[in-house]
Amino acid sequence: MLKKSKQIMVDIIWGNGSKVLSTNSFVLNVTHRKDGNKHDYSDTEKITIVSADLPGLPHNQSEWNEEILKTCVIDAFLKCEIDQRDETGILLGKVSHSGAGGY
Amino acid sequence: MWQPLVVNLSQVDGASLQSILSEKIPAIVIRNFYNKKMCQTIVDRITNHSQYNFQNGKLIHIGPFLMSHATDKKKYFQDAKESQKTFERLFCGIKSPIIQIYQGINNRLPDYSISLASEFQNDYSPAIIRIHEKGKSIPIHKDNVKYEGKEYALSDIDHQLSCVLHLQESESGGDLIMYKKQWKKEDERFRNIDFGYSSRVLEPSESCKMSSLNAGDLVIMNPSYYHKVTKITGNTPRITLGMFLGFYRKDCKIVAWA
Repeated sequence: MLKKSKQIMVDIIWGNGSKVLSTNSFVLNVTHRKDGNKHDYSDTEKITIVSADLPGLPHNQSEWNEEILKTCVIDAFLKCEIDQRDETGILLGKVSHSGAGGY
Repeated sequence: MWQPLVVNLSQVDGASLQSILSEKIPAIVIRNFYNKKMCQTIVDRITNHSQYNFQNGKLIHIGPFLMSHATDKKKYFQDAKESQKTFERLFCGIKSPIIQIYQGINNRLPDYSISLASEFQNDYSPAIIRIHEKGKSIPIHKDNVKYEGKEYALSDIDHQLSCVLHLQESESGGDLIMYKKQWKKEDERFRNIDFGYSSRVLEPSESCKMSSLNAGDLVIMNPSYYHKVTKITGNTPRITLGMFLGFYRKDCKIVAWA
């Protein structure tokens, strides 16, 4: 008998990183929102990175610092898969690079 | 006028390659760089190999490319190793177009060594074959390993060129268009979600269209300039073999990868 798995649809926003706020948080200038997102997102959102898949960012979060984060997120085009919004209004989620090159 | 240099192999010299690096011209098109019959042999092998059966409307690659493994080096190097065997089979008994490109470049730039890029004894992918069927296009984009390939050792190159050997052309469409505008990091605000950039990134900029390319023609271009491939409108798939060349000026060294 096939087991039915429940797929959780997360909200996704995309945009460019701007100001770094701490070793694991930054401001995202939102440019795109997934059709079907359950929640609304403003043009500027503060993001706390729960997990990341960004070129140049160490896999081990204890190695992150603001300088490294700046080189990885400032101006970069980023995809944010939202887990939740905390009580202060900051979004928590997975942050990854978006898109691959090649002609 | 910003136009490609269209030449035969004998007319290419080191200075013309330097012209791309110094951004005087967008590209060099070398006519009949690779034997047309051998192009057809490779295409036949691709077409007849069940693993590579064309899937209607889908883009198919043979060999991995680094940019799709920007944060997964292990997988990239594993796939690169596998791809070397695939290319050996595809080019069995004929002159490898990869080697021919290395030799063609090296003969024009004899002061430089050229080799497949490697890192901690892991070889990079030597090339990628792209098969584009009718209806496919490649949006406006750039290629820049110094930005997108930060986790890889070769991201410290001085310059990057792109070599694309045309193995089969479609009857219509599939033209390469280059724009006289180089990528800068601030342009990331014009990114599309999945891949490429909005046309707003180009305004205003001169462009040149490279049409009437034939099987066997090699295009060498500076991929930091925005470029795109128009929609393929013919029934025959467009098939190309591509690789990048990274230049280390001080060491007079060129490394190749895909």
